[in-house]
Amino acid sequence: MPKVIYQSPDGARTEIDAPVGATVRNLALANGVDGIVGECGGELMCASCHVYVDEQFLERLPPVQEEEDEMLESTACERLSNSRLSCQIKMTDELDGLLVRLPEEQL
Amino acid sequence: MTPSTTQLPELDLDPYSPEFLADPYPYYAQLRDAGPVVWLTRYEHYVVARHAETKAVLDDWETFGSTRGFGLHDPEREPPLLDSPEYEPLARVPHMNTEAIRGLLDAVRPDPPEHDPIRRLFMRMLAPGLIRRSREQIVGAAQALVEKLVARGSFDAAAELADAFVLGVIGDLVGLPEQGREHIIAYGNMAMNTSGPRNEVYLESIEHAVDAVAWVDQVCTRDSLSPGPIGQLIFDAVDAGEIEEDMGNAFVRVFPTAAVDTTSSTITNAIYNLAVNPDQWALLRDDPSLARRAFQETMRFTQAIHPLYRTTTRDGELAGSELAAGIKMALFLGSANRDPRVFEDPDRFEIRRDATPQLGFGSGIHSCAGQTLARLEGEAVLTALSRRVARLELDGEPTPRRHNTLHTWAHLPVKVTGDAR
Ligand code: HEM
Ligand code: FES
Repeated sequence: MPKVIYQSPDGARTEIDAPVGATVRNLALANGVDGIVGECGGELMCASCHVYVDEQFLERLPPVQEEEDEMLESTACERLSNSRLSCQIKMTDELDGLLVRLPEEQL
Repeated sequence: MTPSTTQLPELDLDPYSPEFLADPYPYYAQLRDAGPVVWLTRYEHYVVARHAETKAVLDDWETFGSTRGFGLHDPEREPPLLDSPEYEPLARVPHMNTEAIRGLLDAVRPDPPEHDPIRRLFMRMLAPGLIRRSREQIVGAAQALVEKLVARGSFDAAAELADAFVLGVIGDLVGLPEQGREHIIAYGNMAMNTSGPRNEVYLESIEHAVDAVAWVDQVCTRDSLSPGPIGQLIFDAVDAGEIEEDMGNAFVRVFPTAAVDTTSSTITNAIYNLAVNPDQWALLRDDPSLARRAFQETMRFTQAIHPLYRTTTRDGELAGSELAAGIKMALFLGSANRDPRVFEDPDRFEIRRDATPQLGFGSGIHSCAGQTLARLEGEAVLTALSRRVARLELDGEPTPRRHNTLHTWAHLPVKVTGDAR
């Protein structure tokens, strides 16, 4: 099973086994990883599931679609070139070891 | 009855009967247990009450359309509501914007492609990033009002707290004149009552809305608005040629209709839930950062909007049931939110649970564009209360709001003991 690694702003890392197809947002909530709020339930309506994706994984992700792009303009912490909304990242075998850094704030 | 419905489980329930409106939850369980799609004999339409199918319907606008209204009334089979004798009282409104009121009452809404530019503007004017800029102002308004009410020791949490707060927030954001804002309550009351059948509350809501319709017509225009972040944005879009002036006015009207009653009802429900569940109130008091979760759990546990409709646009299939085109379908969000298939112990109010799969803001292309604003308002009030109040209790029996669509309290008397923290 692929793994996803969440790194909180203080550097602490949490590694979670990720069934293929699960989203990075859902995995965090299901496993009690703090730092992803994702209040709208993955509907691209809240921007509170913001993560910074480690550069080496960035191009393995499907490109940002228009709606995600617009919602990324609403993140609480600055949008950077590696910003994504974690409700839009579905785990695949190719993404094994995916490292996402959590922003200081989501709301 | 259409032939394809013969295989569906049938129930003879009336979602608008006083018993159903007073406590819908046992009926919801009955509807969920009967099957994924149920035929309601009394109104001759489909009902979907389970979570998975409700979401599937909301996410498939091509099969389940909104253009025939999100109420019970079907403008394609029946004459426009405004032309029916029940609407006689509105004839007293001078210079009524007939077009706008017709649309409001029939509750029609475009689907794509007409919906696309409208949706884009909704999303822009209510984007989380934009709403965040009003955060301090909204939090401050909640604190000031809570402070004033808590000093009195007892108050009506529905009228004096939830309604007053939400009217102030929305009024200021849009730039509506302060004088007369209370008309918005009667206006919204009519808009949502008339999505039900023509019963007594329905008729009363029209009678009570006459002055409100006149007020809304008068103030929802560029010239009557004072500077407010959202009102400004709407008319900037007009000036940029993105939408017509008429459409700008229509956008302003979305606020009295969609932004007030919904939010204040939910805040009222949250306070009720916390007052009658002291263990949950204690959790919030000890950790005010749970406020947003408490609001989300209130959306799940006591969803304010019951029911919402779609109309089948074509023959189709849902969870193994065949569906015929051109028939209304009732969705009970409050039932989906208590579906044991999705939520553990669904009939318990637990503010720490992850209630994010709740469907109280809808889903798909029509899902609530104002949800970030509503959540912020809820957070602001619940945080202010949890910081200032040690004990929160009912102060006598609350009065249910008699309403075809909204499930909440008209009056919620509460008694509070202040906290010196
Ligand atoms: C707790 C409060 C609220 C609740 C429970 C609520 C609920 C809903 C629901 C269920 C829908 C979907 C309707 C459908 O699919 O037919 C909706 C849509 C909508 N809501 Fe809210 N709402 C709330 C607050 C607000 C606020 C504050 C605004 C601000 C203007 C707002 C604006 C809208 C708009 C514009 C739509 C229509 C979106 C579209 O058709 O594209 N709502 N709301
Ligand atoms: S969970 Fe709301 S945008 Fe991702």
